[in-house]
Amino acid sequence: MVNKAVEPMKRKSKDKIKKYNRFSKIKDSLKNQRLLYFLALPAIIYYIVFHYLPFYGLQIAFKDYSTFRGILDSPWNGIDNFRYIFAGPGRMMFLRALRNTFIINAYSLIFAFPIPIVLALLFNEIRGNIFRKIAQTALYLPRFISELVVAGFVINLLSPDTGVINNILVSLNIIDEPIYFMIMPQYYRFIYIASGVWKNAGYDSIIYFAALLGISPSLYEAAKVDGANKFHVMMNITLPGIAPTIVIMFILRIGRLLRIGFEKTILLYQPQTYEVADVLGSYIYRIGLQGANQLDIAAAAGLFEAVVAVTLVFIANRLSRKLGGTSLW
Amino acid sequence: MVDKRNMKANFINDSKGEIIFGYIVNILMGICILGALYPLIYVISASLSSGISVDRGQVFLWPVEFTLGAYEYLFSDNAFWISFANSVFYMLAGTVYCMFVSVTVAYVMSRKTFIFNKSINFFILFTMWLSAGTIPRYLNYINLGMSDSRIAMIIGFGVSAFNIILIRNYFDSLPKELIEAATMDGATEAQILRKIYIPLSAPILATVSLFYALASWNSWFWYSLLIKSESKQPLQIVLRRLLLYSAENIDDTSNEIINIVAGAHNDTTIKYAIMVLSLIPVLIVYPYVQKHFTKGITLGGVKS
Repeated sequence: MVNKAVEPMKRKSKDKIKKYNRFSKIKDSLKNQRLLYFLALPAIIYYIVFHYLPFYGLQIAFKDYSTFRGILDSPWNGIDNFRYIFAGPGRMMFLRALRNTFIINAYSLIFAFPIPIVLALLFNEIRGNIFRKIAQTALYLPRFISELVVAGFVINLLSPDTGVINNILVSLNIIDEPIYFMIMPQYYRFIYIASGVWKNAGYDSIIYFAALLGISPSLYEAAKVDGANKFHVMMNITLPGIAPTIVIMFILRIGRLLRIGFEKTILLYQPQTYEVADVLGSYIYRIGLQGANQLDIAAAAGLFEAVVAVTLVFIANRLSRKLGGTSLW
Repeated sequence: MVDKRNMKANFINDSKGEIIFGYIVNILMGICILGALYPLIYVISASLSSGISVDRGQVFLWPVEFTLGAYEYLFSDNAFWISFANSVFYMLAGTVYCMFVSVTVAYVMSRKTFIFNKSINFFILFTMWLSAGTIPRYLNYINLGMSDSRIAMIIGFGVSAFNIILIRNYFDSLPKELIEAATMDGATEAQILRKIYIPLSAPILATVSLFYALASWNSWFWYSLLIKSESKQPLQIVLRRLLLYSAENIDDTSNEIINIVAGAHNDTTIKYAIMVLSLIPVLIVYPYVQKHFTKGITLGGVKS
């Protein structure tokens, strides 16, 4: 009896057994771990409603959207919205935003990216533990200040009539008259990147500092015995020690080449500086939600941004797996 | 983190070059500290100076003609208190809500025996890499009828996949034997979470709560899009309007506080005072956050 019952089971394909197992496992877990389902529920609902549901609205990128008709009833218009931003009247402004996004990100990759590394090296070289603690406390702090207040600092400290920067420059006779920095295109990118450095560089140094602490002290002792000077130690022990971290962080930044925080942009830019300041995020915000209300065009630009961004992340992840042996997933 | 290297280094006689190098490091670090703190010091000093001295550009480091006028002005203004109270409300309610959503799911994600463990991990992590974008998100909030509602601002925002992973990683690092022992003794999932996970994870839970509180306090973008009534605006929105006003980029002067400020004779110092007041919670909370976040960041950093 028993044998006869088992025989057909054996003949069944492995897939079916797997399916059967999975099904029974779900049944088991529904019985024994019912609470886990309930615990997962709030987050699942949150993410479905506020993160996955918006993908439904992404269809307006292919529609002639009117608020009046709503998402579903607005007529499809194929790739007209994309044609508008790539080849049509919206071309100039969209491509400018795309260009600015790349340029600002590239500049900050070149100029801002190394600063946290230098800071971590400095933290590491400080002799007194108390002084290091003070330095770290002071430099991590700006990260927790809102973009809005940072923008407030920038605008007010650089203001031509009451700004302290202009006051200092004038009283030191470096300039004759106050400069209205915020409306001069030549200063904008520097201001944008520098204020980002002020806010983030200290905090971003944490990861490098942690990597530095992971380097074995015996290496340093051996170098000392061998009579290596600071420069040799840095080139042969310290930098190689944190190189994997640097590579990974660099690749991550490349994956984010098209992502740029536009909150600060929409606070800092002026019509006079749009030419150098307008990035994809601020462009989407301005044409979609401010005045013009071209939501469909903005959604198309946003879709393009998302697709390129995800592609870049995938490429970056591949690279990181190949070069650094670590990957994001 | 006591650095053994540095303690060792003190026993070995330093060469002259090394001493000079040490001075250079300290000087560079000092400049960085000044650079990081100067804007804060200046804004605080300017908010405590008289309007005239700020406008004349006499304030550089310390308050000139010390006065609390700007603060007195703000404190006597109802619009300020309403927005301040709103901010506090959004922060407290938002933090409780976000912590509830995060801790519950982080627990599920850390229970490797749960059959949907991997699916839920992917479901949450996916949102870190791909989002529908500003416009579809905005339309979604509008279609859900979430404009101009305090409750909507709390339930619809703030939960962060990164924070969930911080908590999950901490949960993962708890000793497995404890949990196994508890299961053997017949503890239910609810008891394991309440009696083992949560008490043992107090440091990371405190840190993440503060992360959430700060993020909520500092946020403004979606408030500016969705909250129309002045009575529901948080402090950051008032600040934003003041900034736009100062940038001579007035798109909306309907706000009461701007009109008063525009007519006030020391509007610059009031602007600085509002910035300082919006910074105070950050400065209060920061030391507690700083104690823990270094560990949290390195734990949950690159690898997720």
